[in-house]
Amino acid sequence: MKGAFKRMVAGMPIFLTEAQGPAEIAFSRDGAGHLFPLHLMPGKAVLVREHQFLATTGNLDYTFNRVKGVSNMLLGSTGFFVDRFSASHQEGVLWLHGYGNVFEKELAQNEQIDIEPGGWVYRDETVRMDVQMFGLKTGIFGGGGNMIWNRFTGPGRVGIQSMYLHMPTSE
Amino acid sequence: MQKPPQPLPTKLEEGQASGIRYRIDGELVPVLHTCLDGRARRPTRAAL
Repeated sequence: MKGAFKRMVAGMPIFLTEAQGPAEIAFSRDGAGHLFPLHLMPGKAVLVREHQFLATTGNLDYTFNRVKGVSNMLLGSTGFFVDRFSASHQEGVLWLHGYGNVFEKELAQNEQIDIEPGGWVYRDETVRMDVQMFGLKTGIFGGGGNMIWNRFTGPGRVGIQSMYLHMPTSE
Repeated sequence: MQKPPQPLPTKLEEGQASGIRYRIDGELVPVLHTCLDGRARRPTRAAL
């Protein structure tokens, strides 16, 4: 995957196993959850939350973006990565892992859904994601925390997991 | 009324794409079995 080198330069470890047939090979993750395929047609791309990737056919292109701010507020770190997989010339398959169970919401044009920040797994590139933050007050002088969620606006698909684990990082 | 999110299938008997057949089974910790026919120009890749 072409973007993997960029990710290494950015300080994110990325180790991949490569398999070429004819042969059989099986994969799983070290957590209870849900595996599912996403078939990407040429010209289509999907954005995936970090640590959800399991496997892909070798004909998909890969890159990533770092989302700053959200994780600052949530997890005391400096951001998180969103992986982007795209098919350029032929259909490819991407297999993802979600914790708990995974649900899919198909958003119509301008239809919106609000999801707890750790709850989304993937989204079509056509789906816009915004951060919604609300301050919580506990009285006149009382402080409070922030309530945060992500707002997704269609058209396109959003994948939702019913539980999540924040993988330990060096941050 | 909006349609609620739909659960994705937890099992898949026979998936297929260019150069690869696969199935997903198992409930708590599911497994992806792939069968590569060797015709794919680029190999399948997986996270460690």
